[in-house]
This record gives sequence, structure tokens and C-alpha cells, in this order.
Amino acid sequence: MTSGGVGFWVRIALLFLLRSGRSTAALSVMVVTAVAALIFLAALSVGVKDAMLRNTVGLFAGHITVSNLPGNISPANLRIAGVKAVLQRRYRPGVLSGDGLALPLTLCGIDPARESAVTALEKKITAGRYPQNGRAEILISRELARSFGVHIGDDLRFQDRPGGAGSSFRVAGIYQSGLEALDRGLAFCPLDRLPDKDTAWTAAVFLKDGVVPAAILKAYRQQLPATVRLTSWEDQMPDLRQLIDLEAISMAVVIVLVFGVVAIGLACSFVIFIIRNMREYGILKAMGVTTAEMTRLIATKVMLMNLAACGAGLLIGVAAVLAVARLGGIDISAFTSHNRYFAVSGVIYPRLTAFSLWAPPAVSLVFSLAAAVWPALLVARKRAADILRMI
Amino acid sequence: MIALTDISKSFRSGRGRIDALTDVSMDVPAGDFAAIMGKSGSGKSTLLNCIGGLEKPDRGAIRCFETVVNRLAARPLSLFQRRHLGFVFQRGNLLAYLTVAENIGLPLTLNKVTGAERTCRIEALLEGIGLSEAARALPHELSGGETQRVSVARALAHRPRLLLADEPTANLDTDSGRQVVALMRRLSTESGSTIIMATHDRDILNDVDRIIHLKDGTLAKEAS
Repeated sequence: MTSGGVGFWVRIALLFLLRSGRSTAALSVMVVTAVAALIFLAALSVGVKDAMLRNTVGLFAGHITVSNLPGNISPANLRIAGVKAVLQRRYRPGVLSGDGLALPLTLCGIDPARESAVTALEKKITAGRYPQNGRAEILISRELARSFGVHIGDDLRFQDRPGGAGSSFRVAGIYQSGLEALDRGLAFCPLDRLPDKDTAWTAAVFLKDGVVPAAILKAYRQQLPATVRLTSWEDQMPDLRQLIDLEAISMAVVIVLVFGVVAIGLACSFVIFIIRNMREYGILKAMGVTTAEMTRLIATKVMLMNLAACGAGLLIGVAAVLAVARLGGIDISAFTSHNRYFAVSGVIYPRLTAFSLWAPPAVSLVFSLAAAVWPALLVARKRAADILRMI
Repeated sequence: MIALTDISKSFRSGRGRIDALTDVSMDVPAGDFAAIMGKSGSGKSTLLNCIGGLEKPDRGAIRCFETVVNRLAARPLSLFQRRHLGFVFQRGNLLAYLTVAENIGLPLTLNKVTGAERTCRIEALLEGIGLSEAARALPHELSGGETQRVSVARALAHRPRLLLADEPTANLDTDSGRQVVALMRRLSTESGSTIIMATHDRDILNDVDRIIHLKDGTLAKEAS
């Protein structure tokens, strides 16, 4: 205690916190737990959104579809920062026929090995397997298979123009995705077996977690010719976008409510913490400590304790999120098995974002300081004799 | 000179209005050791609190060394208390989380007495109260008598012009009480402080210069 300035009050506050061990520890545990829990909850909310997106766009479509790409552009050209994978596809509209039935559909040429590595459509195959490169094989939905009455090993014919000879394909696999866009009017064959190989192709772009499509779209617009068409999952799947927004709003309401309850708990604890030591303020007031100095002392105590407790809560919260994410996430498959937005997996991996890291400590600090206002006003307005008589 | 003119103070409580002080007027010359005697509830503590600015009288004027204490605004009053007053309370009222040396050093730091002078004064006071070896002890490690000795040292550390002591011996045995009063007397003589002490203990009055008797909030008599 060598100075009458800010350092002096910080030192007094620090000595108070350190030497009032049990009270400080009890209140710290509450702040630590609250901050850690709120960080985990916020990360879980992000994880739910990620899971829905991953399940839906990860099944086949990708986050961004780049169509009408000229042949001189390769998938490698589209692999920019933030992009996890680029899959090359070609679409041919035509008619699929077999056993006296002909249905209009689009045949999609794919690289089976790459598709298998990046998308989750293979997991939705209920019979057979993925078509293989170099073979005239086709993957159709269960709905189509039922319509044609075909099984694995049966043949179907695809004609991409009226009167053309068409190409014959053997059914290698049957899938059921649960998504209407995939289960109706679409079938898959190896790229090298797609009839009438046009040079124009379509890319399905898959982004890394947390990367927003807008940033990648902006980069592509600068890099690609104007004839190329860019669509993000938000445009392709407005229902998913709405659902994610709805989920975000629901989660935000839950988080605000939890934040609110925790914040009120913290505020009440801090009020008790300060009032419990009211005698100290009466003594200091009698010694000539001014109201401004007293307020500074109370605020410093609250801030120092919060900073230490929030730091510990932050570490514990981050550790919990990382541990859960690395140990296989939280499996909620039992509740999502019939939910098409969790078509591939019901596992949620909590993910940390800037918001989930700064919001809980900020809430704790703001509410604690707000809670300190009333006792500070009480100390400021009461005379020393009244305070000393109170206790 | 401490001059009180027509000081009145009343409180409202569940039992109605209580007149703690009624038209109290008295003078205590600078450097004197005055004791305010009276039974419990006679208004001794209220009078002391009013003199020290801890409480505001309803009427009257309290002049401490040319400053009318009860007319000071909050901040000037705090600065006046910090510089010119020292308090010794019945229960010692040391800050529980500061060591003995830190408690004694607190008014010094508040008065911007720092560095070697601060250290020197703390050491001298610790020696003066016979607690040099307890410099790093926390208040809960002290006996009642030791706590009050530290309290006296803290109250006089910044060499205030007026020391106000409210029943400083109430929780002590007679010997310890006498020691504390003797200590107050000795240290205040060294620092040139005036002492006003509220007490109901007649055994400790040998050292005082004047005794002021309070009864039911009014001045009964004054003896030198």
C-alpha cells in the first residue's frame, strides 16, 4: 500500500478477495459454473445448426452449387480458402424407361469415389452399392425402383433426346434419402458413362464449418465468368434456412432466459456479498474514504473477482466443448430418426464461436457491476454511523 | 477548540421519536482529554458521532478547529475526517482482511504518507503498542486488548487533531482497559491530539482532563 491512487484500491480489493477466501470461493464457483455452462450452451446451439446444415447439404447438394461451368475451369480452380471439397457433376435431362414405363428425370454424372468420400448419400443406400467408374451402372431412388418394379442387377434405359438410341444402365444401388428433391426425378451414374458428354459442368462446393457462403460466393463472382450461375444452399433450400432461423430464434430465447436466470442469481449473490461486508464500508467511511473511492473499491472487487472467475469459467467451458466435440459429440439420433433435417446423423458437435466466448463473461460482468450499483448507492447515501449500526 | 452549540438529535423508531440529544452545548480545549460519561442510552455515542461527522445533528453547530463540521458537504466532510479525525470504536473495527501493519498504514496511505516515512511511523506505532511481532497478524489472531491497541494506533497514525473514542474499553477487562486509555493518552500527547472518549467505566478516568456527564441526552454537569 504505497499509493493513494487506483493501484491502492486495486490492492485493497485484491487483499479483500484473497483473504476472504471462503466467501470469494463460494461466489467464484457460481460465476465459474455459470460462465462455463453458458459457453457450452451457446456452443451447443451452434452445433445444432451445424448438424442440420451438415445433414442436409452434406447429403448431396453442398453449400454452393456452381452451374454452367466451362470445360477450361477445373474443380481445383474452385478450391479456395474456406472450401472443404469441390465435386464435379454433369446433369442430363431425359427419359428413363423400363418394363413398359418411361419417366422423365435428370441423370446426374458423378465421380463415385469422390462422392462417397465427401457426401453422405452412400449412407442412404438401402440396397446394392454406389455405381463404379467405367461401368454402365445407375443409382436410383426407392421410389423410382418401385415405379419401374426393378431390383439390383436389372436394366433401365436412358434417352436424352427423343428418337435417340439411348444408353442402357444396370441398377447398382437403390437409395432413400427422405428428401423429395433427391428421391424424385434424379438418378446417378458414373461421369464417364454419361451420354453426350457436354463440356459444361456443375460443381457442388462444400464449405468448412463456420464459413458463410456469402464470402465464397463473392470470391467466385470475381473469379468466374459471368455466364456461370451461383446458388447457395440458402437459395436452394429456403425451408432449411427458415428452420435454422427458427431454431436459432428458439435457442436464442432459451439462452436469453438461461442468461437472465443466471444473471439474476449472480446479481443477488453479489448484492449479498457486498452487503455482508457493509461494516467494512462504514469503517472506511468513518476514516474519510469518499463516496467516489468507495464506489471504485466496490466496482474493483466485483471486476477483479469476475475477471478471475470468468477466466476459469471460460477455460472450463472451452475444455468441455472441445472434449465433447472430440469424444464423438452428443448423439440425439433417438429423437431425430424420422427427421429429414437429420437425415444422415443425429450427432451434435458443439462448436465455439466468438459470440459463445465473449457473451457469457460479458453478461456476468455487466450484471455483477449492475448488482453492485445498489449497495454502492446504499453506502454512498448512508452515513457511517447508520452503516455501523446496521450490522 | 471543539465547540458544540445547542446540539439536538432525535431518531424515529418503532417506539416513536427518541430524543437522543437535546440542546447540548460544550467546549473542549485543544489538547485536552475529555470523557463523556453516562449510562447506556444517554446519548454518548450519538454525541461522539455528531462531533465526528458520522451523524448529522438536527439542530445546532459543531465547530472543530474553526470548521463547522455539520455544515460540510459529503466530500469535504470525508476529507476533513481523513485528515483531522481518528476513531476508536467499541469493537475495534479493524478491517478483517488487512494485517495489523496494513490496518495501521491505511490512514497513512489515505493521507498520502508513503515510502520510508510511512514504514517508520508504522514501526514506531507497533513498538508503541507493544505489538511489533504481530505486524503481519490478521485481526482475528489478536486478543480483545490487542485489537483495541491496534485500533488506537490506527486512529492516531496520521496524527489527527481530534481522536474520538466510543467505549474503547467496553469489551476489555479493567487492566486492559486502563492500558488502552493510557496508550491513547500517551500517543495523543506525542501527536498533540485532542481526545474525546465516551465511556461508562469510572475505573479508567484517572488519566482524563475533564469529565462531561450526559443524562437522557442533556448535559448534566462538567467536572475537571
